[in-house]
Amino acid sequence: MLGLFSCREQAKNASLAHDGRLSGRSRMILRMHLAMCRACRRFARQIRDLDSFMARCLSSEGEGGENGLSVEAKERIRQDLERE
Amino acid sequence: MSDSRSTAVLWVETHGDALFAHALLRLACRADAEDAVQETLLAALRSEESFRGDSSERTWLHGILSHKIIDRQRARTKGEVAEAFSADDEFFDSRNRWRKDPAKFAMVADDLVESAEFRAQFADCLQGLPPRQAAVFVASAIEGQNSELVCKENGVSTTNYWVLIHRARLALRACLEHTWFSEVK
Repeated sequence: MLGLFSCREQAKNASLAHDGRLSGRSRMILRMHLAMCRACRRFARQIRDLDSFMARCLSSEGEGGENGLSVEAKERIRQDLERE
Repeated sequence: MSDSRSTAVLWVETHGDALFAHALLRLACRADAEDAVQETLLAALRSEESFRGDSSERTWLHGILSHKIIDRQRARTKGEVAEAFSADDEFFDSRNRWRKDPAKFAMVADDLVESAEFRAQFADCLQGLPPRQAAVFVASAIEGQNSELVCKENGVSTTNYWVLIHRARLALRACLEHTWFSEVK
């Protein structure tokens, strides 16, 4: 039972495939499922989108930027480390 | 200044922003995120000799940071850490079909990420995840991280790692759907 008709199973496989952890037979079953299931196709695409959101949120936009450490915070940390 | 001290000061310059972005995303509080980065660098300084050459310096620091973040989250919830393995029954019914079909994005992903409001919402959704799920999900996205390292740094087995990542994806996209995806038939 490879779960051709199971969205639960194929959503999991879409996740594994995204990370390059799905091989052979399971990947073929996944492709067949995706061909007939719009919901899982969307999920598979959104897995990729989540990764790009994540990458964007983690990228620090320079010193003092939205996601970066402030100049004051850097100075404070530096001083504390130097006392160590 | 001693060698190790100058090393630490260099870390602030080289990795400070990246570590802070990671911490801010998980803790959603600038002050807490700054403290977590500081604790991380102090801990790293004290255990520099334990740095294994099998990962990059940045990966090693992110690993320490991840622990510090979980400690903070634990303190916030007074020692209770939410169960990391919620069943996926929340998303699938007894016939293994989606309870609610994933909706389409309201905008293309590239446009969404440009919106500061969307990024704030994304961070909020990340906050709602059980700590271990958030930890592995964020860690997996850090440049240069691979699954073996993430598992080692977060103390999870390989099998659990894939379960955690998948659950995080299911939960995140469901959370984002409330505000950012539209039902397009």
